This record gives sequence, structure tokens and C-alpha cells, in this order.
Amino acid sequence: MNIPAETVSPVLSQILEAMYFCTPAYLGSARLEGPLLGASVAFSDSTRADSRRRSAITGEVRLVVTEAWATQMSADFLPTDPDWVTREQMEAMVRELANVACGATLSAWLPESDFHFAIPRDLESCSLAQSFEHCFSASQNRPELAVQIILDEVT
Amino acid sequence: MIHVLIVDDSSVMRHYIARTLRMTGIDIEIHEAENGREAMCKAVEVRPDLIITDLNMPEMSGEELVSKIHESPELKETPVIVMSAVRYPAKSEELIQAGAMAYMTKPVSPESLCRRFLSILESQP
Repeated sequence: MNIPAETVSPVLSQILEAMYFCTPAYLGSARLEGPLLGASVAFSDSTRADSRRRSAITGEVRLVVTEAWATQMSADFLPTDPDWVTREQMEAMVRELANVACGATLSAWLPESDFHFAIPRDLESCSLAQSFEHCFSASQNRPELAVQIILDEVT
Repeated sequence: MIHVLIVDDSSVMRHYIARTLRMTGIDIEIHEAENGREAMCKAVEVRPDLIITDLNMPEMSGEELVSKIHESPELKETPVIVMSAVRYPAKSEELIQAGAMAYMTKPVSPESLCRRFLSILESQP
């Protein structure tokens, strides 16, 4: 089971446009290069909202951004000069973006489900060096932001 | 002067909401809290004209905060906007029943937050 690009791509684009004032391009699967920041949000749902399913869905949404784009997004979001953005602000921005991406994507995928989310947490750097299923570009046609949705179905 | 209490465990989100509300040009004093427990203490202290709260927070959630505000004789008339990353079909209805005035699903654009903020202020006596 996976969440299709037709769901993930418009949801992420809407978030980035509404809150970060940028229009990203969807690139599909790719690996991000350079210094990266990442956050993840674990989730679970209750099946009582959807009688067609007999099992609950649990999983995790991971979001990874290049430091360069994280700096620019933080500057646009706060707003402030990119030179003044701190590491702490970038990490907080990435956690919030992961939180919004998780909620909006799952709501779009299964709108009748009742999802519960954990508090977002920073990803260790070793978790960032991999290929990601859904990648986006801000302007340079190279992957700068990635989303990976890990689904486990529990009976 | 309008006193607004912003409750969110994300410092950048609190900053984003405060900056957005100031775009309306209204004279606003912003108060901040990182969770529902801290928000209850701040609310009793400053008696805000409006509370904007996240739902998913450590220590005390936005849902519990809405209930406690509604139970408090001093605070029960305070309008509350709940903002959440997830579109809970049943939860939003429950929160409105519990006393929240509005439920907004993130991403919340500056324009939609300003519109909701102004309409709530206009609806207050």
C-alpha cells in the first residue's frame, strides 16, 4: 500500500504556496544532495471512521529539505533576512512543515479517517542519506525537498 | 488594544500567526504559550480577547484547553480558534460543540487567517 503521487504532489504544492509563498515542481523519486535537515511525524488511525476497512493504519511521514531551501523558507515564513535565520529556527520550521504535510496528505488520502499524530521529531543525519519517493524542486530543477510516507497496516 | 493568546508548541508557527495578525493593522498585543497548561495560566492572567490554539501539543492538547476554557467562569466567553494540521471530520464538530468558535485546517494562508480573525472581532459585543 502506498499513497500515490496524485495525492502527495498537489497537497505539498498547496502547503508550500499557502505558507511559504513558493511554487514547487514535482520531480518524483530522487536522492537529495548536500547538507540536509529532516523531521518525521508518526501517526495512527482509528478504523471506526471507515467501516470498509478492518485494520488500523500506522506509519510515519518523513520530510527532508536541503539546508539552502530550509534557510530560504524560514526567512520567508518568519519573515527575516536569510543571513539571520538560526539553525534552531530552521529545525522548528522543518518540524512544522512535516507536521502540516503529514496531516494534509493523510486527510487528502483518507478523508473519513480519524488520524492521531505524534509530536514531530528531528531526523538523525543517517536517516537522510537515501532515495525518497516524492521529491520537489523550488527553482533549480534539482531535488530540494522530499517526502517519504511509510505505511504499516496493523490488523 | 486587542489581546491575543497564541498557543502552539512550534515557535515558528507562533511567530507566523503573530506576524499575520499584525498585518491587519489592528493594535494587538500578542501573548504566547507552548501548550495548553501554560495557556490556561496566561489566559487567567491576561484575559485575552481571542485565543488561537494548535490541537496537537505536549502536556495539554488544544482539545483539553478548549474544554477547560469553556468550564472556566472567567474565560468561557473568550472566542477560541483551533488550528490543526489534520482535517478531523468529527473532531472539528466536537470542538465547536465544546466551545471553540472556529476550526481551521493547516496550511492556513495569511489571508484566510486575517479574514477569520476580523470576522470574529466583528462578531464580538
